[in-house]
Amino acid sequence: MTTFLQICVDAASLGSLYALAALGVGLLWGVMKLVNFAHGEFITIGAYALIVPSGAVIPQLFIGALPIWLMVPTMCLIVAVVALITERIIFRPLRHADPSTLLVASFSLSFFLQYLILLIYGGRPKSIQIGASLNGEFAFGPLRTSWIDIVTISTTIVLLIAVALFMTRTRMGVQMRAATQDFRMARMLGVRGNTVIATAFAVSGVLAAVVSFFLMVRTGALAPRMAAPLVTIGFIATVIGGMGSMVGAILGGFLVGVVSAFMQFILPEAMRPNRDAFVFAIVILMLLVRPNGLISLRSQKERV
Amino acid sequence: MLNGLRRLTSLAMAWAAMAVVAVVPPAMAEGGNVKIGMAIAQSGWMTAFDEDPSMAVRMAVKDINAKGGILGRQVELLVADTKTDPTQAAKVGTELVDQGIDFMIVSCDFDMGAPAALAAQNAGILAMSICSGSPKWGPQGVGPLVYTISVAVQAESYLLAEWAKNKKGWNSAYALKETDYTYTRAECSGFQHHWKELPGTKFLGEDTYKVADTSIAVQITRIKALPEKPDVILLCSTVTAMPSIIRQLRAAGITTPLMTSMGADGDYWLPSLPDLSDFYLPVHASIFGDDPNPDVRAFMESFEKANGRRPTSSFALMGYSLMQGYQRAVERAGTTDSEAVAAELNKFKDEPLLIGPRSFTPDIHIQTRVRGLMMEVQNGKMKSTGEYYMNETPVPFEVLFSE
Repeated sequence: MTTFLQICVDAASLGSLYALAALGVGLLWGVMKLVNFAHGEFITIGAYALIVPSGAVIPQLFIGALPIWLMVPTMCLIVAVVALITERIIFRPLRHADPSTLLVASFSLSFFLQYLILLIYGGRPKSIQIGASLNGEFAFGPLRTSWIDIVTISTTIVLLIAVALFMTRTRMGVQMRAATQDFRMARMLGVRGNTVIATAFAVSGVLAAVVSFFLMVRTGALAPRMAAPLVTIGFIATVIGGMGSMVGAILGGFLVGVVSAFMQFILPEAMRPNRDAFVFAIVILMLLVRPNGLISLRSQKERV
Repeated sequence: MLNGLRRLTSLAMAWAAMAVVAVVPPAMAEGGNVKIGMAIAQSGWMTAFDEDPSMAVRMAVKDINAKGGILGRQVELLVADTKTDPTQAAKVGTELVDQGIDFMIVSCDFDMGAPAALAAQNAGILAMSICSGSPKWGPQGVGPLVYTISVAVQAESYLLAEWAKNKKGWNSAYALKETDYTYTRAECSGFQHHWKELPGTKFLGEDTYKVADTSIAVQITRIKALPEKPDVILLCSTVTAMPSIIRQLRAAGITTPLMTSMGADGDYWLPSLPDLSDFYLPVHASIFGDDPNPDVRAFMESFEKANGRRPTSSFALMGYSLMQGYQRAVERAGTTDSEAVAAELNKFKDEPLLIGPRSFTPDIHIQTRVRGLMMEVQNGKMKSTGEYYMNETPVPFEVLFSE
């Protein structure tokens, strides 16, 4: 029983960061039907912002040298600004373009940012240490986890509540939801489309920066392609959760983490290298049962 | 009409001129410089890995030319950028071949380097990878004229297994395997294979993870639940994931000694682990100025003088040693003819190069035994133990190609 509970705790540990990544991806999809492949690069930029821009193999801390209360907001600010710039330069002119054009644009942006990072910081992985105290072990009874897991899970919950309150209680949030339903109609009723979408980008940038922070505290490893797998899982999580639903995205992220963790534990040694095949088989089965995801929104369905 | 005739004449003359170029006898080409093509990444992520060894190639070429060249001929280096792209590698490989090179040096990564080497092999030109550890460089893969100066990753695992058992007296081992790459998978399977052959050893099991796993909590739970504590844990990991893995293991109170392969050479991944202790790995040489071999120390100094920084890892030495090996093989063959040079390379038996002994056979063009300088990390600092170790048992052929 203890082992089972411990695996549950371990699963939450793996799922919490996936959930957070999925929330950022899900937000932009919900608001503007954009599958933003560059979200991974937003996370990467947040992480690289911690060190002095240079190709040196041993990194010098830059923003990472600040105290945490200053470091995290600065990271959020930087990534939000980058997200806003990409919205203004790339996605705003393409607002009325075909969804496939948007998809290709976000792909190109992702490559562009990746190569920009490569150009400035070099291709060799770097490693840094920030927030070391968060990595300590946290034990309750026979179960153990680490402080960073507790902090990640609570932050995910807090951010989810914050995003939900923002969406339902603020003027901007309500406008954003209106724009999700019918962008043209919302604009006719006085919703400022540009502001709404720019805000969504800024919020997704902030969410990406929070993921960068937690990722760096956990792993400390910087590499130009570091966030790609995380964001892929984020996409899958939004599909499982139900496209457009924030709660769904978070649930989806947790679910992928939980299934991965249990598979890691259950599978015999010889089959463990193929763990993901089993994880995604379960994902496919789940989608067969619930094709619209865990939480299906009416607004996401095609209306005739 | 006249115009047409003139055009025809000039066409014919152009043809004739080309024919003249084509019939220059190979003997005349032998008289000029020894042309060496280097198809490496000068842009893209692979640059970080090709850079140091290729700098060392340039240093070796300079040294060789200063001493009168190879067979009295100066060495000319033609460098082409593969842009970390297999398609581009094939293109620049062909271009280098067209420029009449005698020998081709290719990228550190099999996927990025093999297309260039294939262009050389198809043209009957010798090619050697500057630092890749894949056994597919050779007759079973790209072809019989293709080599790598590097070692098979399984040889590193054999070395680790024997060193752990014979020198450290460790009897029980556990392994953590990153499943994203052939390199790390082969490292763990090689280790398991040899560890089980060694008398008195116990293999307590192996667990896997992927680079994308931001938490290895489940894997840690499994290690903690082992019926007995292992004497050592082998990390079959890339340096991208390793700091995170080590950090999580140590944070969970697992203080077992850790060891890994030569991939973790250099200390650039250590800043995130200021308190790491009891961590061991073999390297080709120490970059920290404490290598027992004075020639290596001299190389490190001249590298720093030439490039303004010390090498990132001892993989840099491979570039220098590759040129040493080529020079010796050419001089023994008395010609730069690729078949003849390859025949001489195949006779290498513990040939002493700067990087250590190198052996080739007609069938195996990678090292199955490797001499490593054992390094240790204590309190976050990597230093040489001053001890060399070489695996006694070479990696058998079938293990070389298994993962």
